[in-house]
Amino acid sequence: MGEPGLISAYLTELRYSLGNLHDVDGVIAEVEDHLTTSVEHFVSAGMTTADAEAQALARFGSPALVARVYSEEAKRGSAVSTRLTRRAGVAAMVAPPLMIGGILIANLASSTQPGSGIGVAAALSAVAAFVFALVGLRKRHGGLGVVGRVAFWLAIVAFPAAMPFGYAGFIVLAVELGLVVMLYGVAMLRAGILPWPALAMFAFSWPLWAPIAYVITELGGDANQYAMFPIAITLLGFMWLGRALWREPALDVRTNSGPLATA
Amino acid sequence: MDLLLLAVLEDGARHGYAVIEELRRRTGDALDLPEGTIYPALHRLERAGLLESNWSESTGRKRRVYVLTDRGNGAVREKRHDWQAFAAAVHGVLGPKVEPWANPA
Repeated sequence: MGEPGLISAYLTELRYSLGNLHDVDGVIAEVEDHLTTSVEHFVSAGMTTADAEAQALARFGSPALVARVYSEEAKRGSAVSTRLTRRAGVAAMVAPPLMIGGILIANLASSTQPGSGIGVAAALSAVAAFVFALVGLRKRHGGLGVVGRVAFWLAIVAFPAAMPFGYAGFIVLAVELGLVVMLYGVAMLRAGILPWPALAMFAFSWPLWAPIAYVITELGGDANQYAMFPIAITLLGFMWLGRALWREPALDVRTNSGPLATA
Repeated sequence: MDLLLLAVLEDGARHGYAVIEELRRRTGDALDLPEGTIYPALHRLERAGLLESNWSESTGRKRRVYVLTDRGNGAVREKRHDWQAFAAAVHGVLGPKVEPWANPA
């Protein structure tokens, strides 16, 4: 190509619009190759170089449009359903009833009865299922960016971080887990992949409980007796998200057979 | 769109321009998206492990070439099966209307 004035200006503007996107140099090199090939095609079809460049750019899309699509796709990350995300969906559906069942069994049985051990084992299994479900939710959204990373590690350290505070640790834990669900939920809402009512239930019922509990207490009521409602809504939202994950067809199946081949 | 991109690469490795040209040819120019919007989707599919890309040197220019992974091949088969079942179902409703009372004679 001779003097690629228009193409060069376009690439400069695109580079600026892409900002700090990962591997900008690679993207620009690829776009330059595409536009050069396109211009060569139009020139060989009889166009002048100037017309060919204008036509190639018109077909490629404006820098603002291309940069916006790059940004949106980057937020989606790998964002595909896989066998792992489907299994994480099952974990999300199982974890809440397993946790509640485990706690009930452990409370009903005295510490010397076998039921106590079963209850504790069920509750510990539920914790593992919760963590696996959180991993799957992040995977399904391509990591959820920095917010997703922070939320995940906050969930992991929430219990140990609350333990030194004794009885007040319950409040610390509630605040930590409230942050976890809100950060996760908002990041997933922005991605727009899973059903928004489930995300809203998961993300906001717990954090919204804090001001409501404050008002109830100020009015002389006992907020604790209603505390199970926001927790129940959060867990129902979590199970709904799990169902949505589980129902998606996995993209990493190699054959059309087996329980995970189709949803 | 993901399925179309993967299906175009089923025949072998292509660079982005060739992917778009083939997409245009196979759809009879019906798919007229801004070409620049295809590359972000290709990159996402690569991050998902459905594609791989390599840079090659061709006629003095750097060129990125995409190829389906095993996982991508599996995904095409899976999605194609789903699409064919869906298309057949829709065709059953919207396809040529057969009047049950029509007399062929």
